[in-house]
Formats: sequence, structure tokens, C-alpha cells
Amino acid sequence: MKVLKLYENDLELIGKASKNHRDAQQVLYQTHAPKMLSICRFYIKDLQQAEEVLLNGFFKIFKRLETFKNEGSFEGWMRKIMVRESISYLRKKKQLEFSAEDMGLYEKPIIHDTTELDIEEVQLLIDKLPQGYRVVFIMFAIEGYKHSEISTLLEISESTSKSQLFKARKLLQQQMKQLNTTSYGIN
Amino acid sequence: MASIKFEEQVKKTLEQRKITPSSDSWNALAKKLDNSEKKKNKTAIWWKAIAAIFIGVLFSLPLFFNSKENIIKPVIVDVNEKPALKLEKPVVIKNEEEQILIALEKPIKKEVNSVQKSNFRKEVNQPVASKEIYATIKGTDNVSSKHTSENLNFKIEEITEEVAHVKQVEVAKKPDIDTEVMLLLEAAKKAVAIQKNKNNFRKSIDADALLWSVENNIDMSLKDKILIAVKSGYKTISVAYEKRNN
Repeated sequence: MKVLKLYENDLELIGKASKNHRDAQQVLYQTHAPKMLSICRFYIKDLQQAEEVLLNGFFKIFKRLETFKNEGSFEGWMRKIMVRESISYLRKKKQLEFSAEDMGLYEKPIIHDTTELDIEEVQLLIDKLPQGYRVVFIMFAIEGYKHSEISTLLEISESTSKSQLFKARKLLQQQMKQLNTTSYGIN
Repeated sequence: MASIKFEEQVKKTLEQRKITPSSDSWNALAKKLDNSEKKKNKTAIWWKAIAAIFIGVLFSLPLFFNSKENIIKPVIVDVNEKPALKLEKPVVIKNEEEQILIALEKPIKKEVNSVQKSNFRKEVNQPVASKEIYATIKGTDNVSSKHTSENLNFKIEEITEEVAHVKQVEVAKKPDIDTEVMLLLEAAKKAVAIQKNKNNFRKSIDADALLWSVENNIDMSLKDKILIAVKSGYKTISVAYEKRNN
């Protein structure tokens, strides 16, 4: 990693990347792409499609790098761009649908302890959720967005966002139950 | 509480995850970036060209409007040409007395050049001298007729010579005056044009006016010559054909 040694300072790296220095851009890409691809993968089931979204996201990052102000974290800024890119991709593919059922009180379903679940199993559980549920669940539970922010980004009402989250949790509970029963059965 | 714990657990596990993209992914991205830069450069060139055209139009508009208002039109000057000095009709002198009377009664008023004019006046416009001559003619009946007739003949010859000389000068002078007038007119025209050009620094020249001014000076064009030649040729051929038929 000779190139990495050349750019020890992150700010210098970002500055050069913003001036279309390919080396600097490549270093930034190689450093942050795995993490960003993981984020894209939360939203998009297919890994190739997720990579496509990753490339589009990085393209936008390099084009808008001049607008980045060193006020917040660079990773956080990139993360936001990736989330928005994933959402717009799903919208283009018309995979983003939300059922607007009134769930009454959004009581949190009880989910059993998941210490034994590994990353692949968690991803599998999330993948099994319908697209709308999954997006809202990831944005709320993993990315830490508020319902007001989710409603703005997904162009839905706050109540819809809440109902989607509730349904996602309920489905996950059911899936966990199933997983536990099958694992106990095996044992 | 269990659900929150589950979500925290999910968050923790997913945060740790890293998926390495395919090996070609960077090349694809670099290619995309290169293409966009090329497009950007092209668009920049287009924008520059559009800006240049806009600036050009912006600068030429006032010139265009000014030129419309201040086209130098050919100045047509009505010149009251001075009536050419008319030569007096040749007078047929019937007899000597009449000749002398004519010479004395009509003082020569024609403008000759200053030297000639003054000389002439000195010699011709001397009523006292001419009257004396007339008196001598009239009152010298008693003097010998031979002597008087010789003197008279001499005087008459002098006067007629002088008159002829003046006439010749006038005839010679006439075209000079015309050309002088023409030259003065040309000079005046030029002066007016220069003055106008000075006043209106950026006035353009009207092509039609220029053509109009030059048109009179141009000889027959090649086209006209060819047309004339063809016409004459056609006439001769038609005449020859008619003759042959007859």
C-alpha cells in the first residue's frame, strides 16, 4: 500500500480527490468501499445491484467532494449519500412499496435474545422482510433515523413509517421463533 | 426491552460487516469519471462558444443600430451653374463709322484674367480718348480726308484686333472656368464627407450609395460587352439569312 503512505492526512487526501486526482480517489474508494457496500447491501438484496448502487454513490461523492465541509465525519457524509442512492435505486426499480394498514397502537413485539445469530443469519432475516418494512427497519434501527426524517426521505407519512417498523418487528419476531424452533429441533 | 436488545445486536453485527467489491469495480468507476470529465470539457467549450457569440452580438448591436440611423447617403448638391459667358454674336460691320460707334458704345465688361483685363481697360475703356477720336472723325471734315482715313483705319484695326483678342481669351477661358467649378465642387464634397466622418466616428458606409457613386465611373462591364457582341452577331446573321432567302 504505497499509495496509502503517500496520503497520511485524510484532509489532504480528500482535497486532492476533489481536484480529480485519480490516485487519491482510488485510495478513498479502496478504504471506504467495503463498508459502503455493506450499507447498500442492507437495502438491496442482490449483491451485484448493490455494487452498482455503490459505484453510482461513489461517482456522486467524487463529483460533490468540493461541497464537503470538514464539519462532520467524512464517513457519515458518504453514508448518507449511499442511503439516498439505495432508496432512489429502489424507487426507480419500483420495488419500494408501503402498505398503509392502520396498526392501531404500535406496541413493540417481544423478540428473543439473539446472541447466537451471526451476520449472515441476521442479513437473511432482514432479506426475508418485504421491501418497505426492511427499508424502514434499517433506517430506524441501524442507521438511527427518526420517523420524521424517514417520512421525508421516503415521501411517506410518519404513521406509515411507524406502521412499517411495527410490521417489520413483528415479522422478525415470527422468523426468530421459527429459527429457534428449527434449531431446537435439530439439536 | 428484548426488541431493543435485538436491534442493538443487529446493528452491532451489521456495522462490523465489510463486503469487498469486485476487482473491476474501481476501473469501471474510473472510466465513468473520465467520461464525465470529457463531457464536462465539451460542455464547457460549448458554453464558451455561446458566451463568445453572445458577447459578439452584444457589441455589434449598437454598431448595427447606429449604422442604420447614420448611413452616409450620397449628397446631391444642386449647383446653380453660372451661365457661361455668352459670346456676342459676330457683328457685321457695314461701314467704318458704325464700327467705331459700336466699339465706343459697348465697353467690354467681360471678365478676362486680371492682367489682360487691366490692359484692355487701359486701352479700350478710355472714353475721353475715344471721344476725341470720334470728334476728330466727326469734326475733321475740313482736314484732308486721306489723312483721317489712314488714322481711322489704324485705330479701327487696333480696336478690332483687341476685340478679337478678348474673344479668343474668352473662348479659351470658358472650359477652364467649368473645370474650376467642377474641381471646387469635388473639393467641397470631399470636405463635407470628411467632416461627417469626423462627427460620426463609427458610421458605416452604405454599399448602395457607394455603388451609386462609383457606377458612373465604371466602364461597360464584360457582361454588357458580351451582350452587345451577341446582339450584333445575331443581327448580322439574321440579315445574312434573309438575304440568302431573298
